[in-house]
Amino acid sequence: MNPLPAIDLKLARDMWHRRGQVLAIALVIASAVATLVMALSALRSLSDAREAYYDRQRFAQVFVSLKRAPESAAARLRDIPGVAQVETRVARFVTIEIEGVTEPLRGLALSLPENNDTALNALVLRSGRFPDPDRASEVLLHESFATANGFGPGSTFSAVMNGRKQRLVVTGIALSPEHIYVIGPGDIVPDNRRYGVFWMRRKQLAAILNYEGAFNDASLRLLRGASSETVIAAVDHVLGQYGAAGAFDRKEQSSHAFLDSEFGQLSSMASVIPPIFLIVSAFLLYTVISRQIETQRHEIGLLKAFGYSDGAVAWHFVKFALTVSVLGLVIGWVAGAWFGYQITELYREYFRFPTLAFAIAPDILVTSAAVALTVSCGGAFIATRQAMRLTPAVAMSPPSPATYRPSFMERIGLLRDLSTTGYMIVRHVTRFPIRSGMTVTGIALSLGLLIATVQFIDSITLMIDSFFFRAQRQDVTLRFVEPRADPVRGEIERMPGVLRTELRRTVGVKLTHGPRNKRVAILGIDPGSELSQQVGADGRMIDLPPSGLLLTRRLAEHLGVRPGDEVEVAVLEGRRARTKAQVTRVIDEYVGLAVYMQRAALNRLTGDGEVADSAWLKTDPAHEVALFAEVKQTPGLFTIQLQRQAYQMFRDLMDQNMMTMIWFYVGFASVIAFGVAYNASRITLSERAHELATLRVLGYHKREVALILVGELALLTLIALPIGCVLGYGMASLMMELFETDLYQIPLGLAPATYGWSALVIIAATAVSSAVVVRRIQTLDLVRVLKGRD
Amino acid sequence: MSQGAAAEVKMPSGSPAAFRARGLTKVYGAGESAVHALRGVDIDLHEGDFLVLLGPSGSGKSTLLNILGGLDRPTAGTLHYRDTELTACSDRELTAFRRRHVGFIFQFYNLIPSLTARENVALVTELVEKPMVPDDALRLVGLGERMDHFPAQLSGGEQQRVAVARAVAKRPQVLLCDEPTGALDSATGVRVLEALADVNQTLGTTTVVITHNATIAGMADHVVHFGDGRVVSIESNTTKRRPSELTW
Repeated sequence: MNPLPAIDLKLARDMWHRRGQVLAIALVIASAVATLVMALSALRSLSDAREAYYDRQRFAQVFVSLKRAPESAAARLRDIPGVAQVETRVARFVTIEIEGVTEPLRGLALSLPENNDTALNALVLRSGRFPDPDRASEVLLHESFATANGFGPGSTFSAVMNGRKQRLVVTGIALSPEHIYVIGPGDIVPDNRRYGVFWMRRKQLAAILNYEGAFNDASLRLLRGASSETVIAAVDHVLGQYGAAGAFDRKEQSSHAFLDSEFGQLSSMASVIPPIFLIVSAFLLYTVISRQIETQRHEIGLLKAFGYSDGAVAWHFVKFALTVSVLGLVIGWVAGAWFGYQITELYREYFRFPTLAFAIAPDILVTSAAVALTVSCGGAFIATRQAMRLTPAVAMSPPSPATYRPSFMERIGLLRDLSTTGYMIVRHVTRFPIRSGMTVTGIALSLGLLIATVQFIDSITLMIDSFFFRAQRQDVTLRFVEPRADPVRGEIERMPGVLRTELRRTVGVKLTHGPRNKRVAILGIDPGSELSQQVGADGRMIDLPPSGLLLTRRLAEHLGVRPGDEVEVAVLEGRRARTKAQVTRVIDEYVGLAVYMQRAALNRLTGDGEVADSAWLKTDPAHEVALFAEVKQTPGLFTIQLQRQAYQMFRDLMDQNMMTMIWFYVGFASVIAFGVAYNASRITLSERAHELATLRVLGYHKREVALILVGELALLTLIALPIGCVLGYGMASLMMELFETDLYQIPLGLAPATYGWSALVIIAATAVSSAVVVRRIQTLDLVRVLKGRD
Repeated sequence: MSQGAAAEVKMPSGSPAAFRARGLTKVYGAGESAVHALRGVDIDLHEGDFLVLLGPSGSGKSTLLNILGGLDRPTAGTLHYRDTELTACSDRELTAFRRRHVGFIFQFYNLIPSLTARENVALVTELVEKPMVPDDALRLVGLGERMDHFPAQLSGGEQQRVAVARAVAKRPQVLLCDEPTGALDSATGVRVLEALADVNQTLGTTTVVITHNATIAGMADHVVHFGDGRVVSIESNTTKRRPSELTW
């Protein structure tokens, strides 16, 4: 007794017979499901972790920093309608020194809230204890810096604050919802070894920095339903007189914005990549089932003659597709869970959450199942219409012999010198244009996917090179505590190893054009700068105009301005001047939303006279250590940054993360290419077994016969390669656009070698699949094949 | 006439032996389900002979033909083609043997549907050293006018004649035909047989034809009767009939 109905037994045996193809298709479906589950689950895990964290630690919604305001101003902030809670504090960027380390390290010193249990942005103590309110030198240290430098409770380090070096003792390690992603000012990647956040009791920090009874930083939590825009305007109004640099929403808080940009990329990944896999799997199922119906005409006729309905026969084939899809789904779920877990582990290194657990939500599994099953069964259903149309009588008579005719290329006189087997290849390809087209499309899509992902390396290299070798060519950046008058230049030039000094001024502004506005910083540069170059869309260098602004493309698009348009400039600090400025050029720059202006013009705008707040230096590496020592002893210099280190950090980050991702996609794209090519060769083999056996009988060697099989796939691959390159370019452009954020825009920098390497991977995948199929030629049963008509 | 199994079977002929088979045995499967297709066949085939193999289905004639053509190997026994022991050849050598010496014709033509009549013939002439021009081979079988037609555009008889042209175009020493007229009506079958007889006479090709159709035996030099995997008897025709004299 068989537990299965006979027709299902047939299904099971058909599947076992085609297990290679079944597995190939299942793997393509699995890739789609895995990407979907991985991206959506990681996204959900991260955003849930962030929400919970924010909620528990009362992460603020509006932030503002200012020069100095009396604590009494806080009461006025609390009175702003819509404000639920206000937390003031003292904050200051400082230079950190660790015994035995010569390099400059930077830190952010923050005052601890009075009561961490009710405060906004409350800290999570990971180990140790909070500093004693009465001991001056105790601090809590952020986990990222502590881990990178091997610090724990009891460790000590020094910070230069207000020109005085303070020895600090770490009492505990903490995390903060404000610093999930810890990034120093001016940095583009985290550098946990050289930048750290620490907290002191407010009384002590205020005493060191002379901020008793005053604050220079505030966070606000809003009542439910309150508009942050209205509150921000009110905050700016209240704190304007205290030198506030403009309040901003959570959206612009750096850690939050970095997370948002990462979330955006995960969701882009989920929306771009799985559809490609699903389209390919639908087409694979279509071709396999069409072919099955072709070879099983007799059986279909028989089933129908026995009284199975059209629907029952169609259902039989759709069940085949369903089974393959379910197999793919299960593999995809497992792989997706595993990849998702891995990627979450990777995030754990960059994002500091108290708890970040990878979890797969059931609705994500359901969504992925619904999408995968619908698409792949759709492909199967189209194929089964063929079987439904067959009447028993027609089905049981042999199919009429395949009619061929000279291909189009032959008719127009090309291909005259082809060998006879060459004609066999070309005519078979043109005889089944839809199927050949689908194979070409499948291979082209896999190549496109590969190019579009591998080119991330090219594009990010272009982005980063344009940042480090054009926009910021300095070796060292010195930032001043306060803007300094131009004669500071002489002081810096005398420092050891300084070869060139260029002064800079950065001013926070709000640019408004019609209904659109954006908070950005204008960077003031002197004309003739060698350490930063601005480049137009045409790739040519641009001289800074005497007045007027250079905007990056994304910012110009955001504001809807073109060269020649005027924008309102509201300075967010100092005298808070308001004026209009003309946009003179739009430039291509990829990191941040840069705005450039001549420093003199910018100083006129703020009314501050000839001042600078940082200096960019070209230095002699041989004198680096002496320079560091000198900088540490010079009051009024607040931080020093080395471009070389920043560049290295970025390359390391890229090598680690991008390469993992690239291998991942090389794997995925190879799965598609292999699946498509294997499927195509298997179908060709089953269709042409008879012909190939005939050739063997006629005296063709196995190798010569295999060439026909391989030749067809090679021809299709050859056609697919240029199409795949074009698709790859298109997909890359789309992805770069989707991945663009205010933090960075990735220019399309597809290198020719990327096309080459990607094509090689695809060629290798198709070669492997044909090698697998070619082995079957060895086992062709010549006698049996020739005896009958299939 | 001589009797089958153990005794050596020789056909009266002045020409040297092309094939010499001794004790050819072929068993498919093993144990209880073993099928004995050949049970020790000894036979000599001479150069230029036109041989017809007659016998019921399953009597072993196709198995013998396949072994003669190097498509299959006997389970036991030896087979020589001229001085070469085919039973000792590798797969590759058997392929080379087919390529150089053997032409095959099957009941279902086995033409390549994507190639025209001429190209189907060229498929074979491209493999050997001194072939006929494909056009000449097609003219030989009376298809001079339809050389650029694809198989789907030809009738069954025409397709089989293309198969004949393809088989003879490389001037093979041996022509092996398995039911060449099995799928054809009498008149068409006769045209195909005429083509075979022409080739046998003009090129001196050793020709073996398997058939169920006893009428065809009239055109052979020798008729070998098969039964139960053995040669049952061999007749020699003193006067061969022209294919055109045959009807069925």
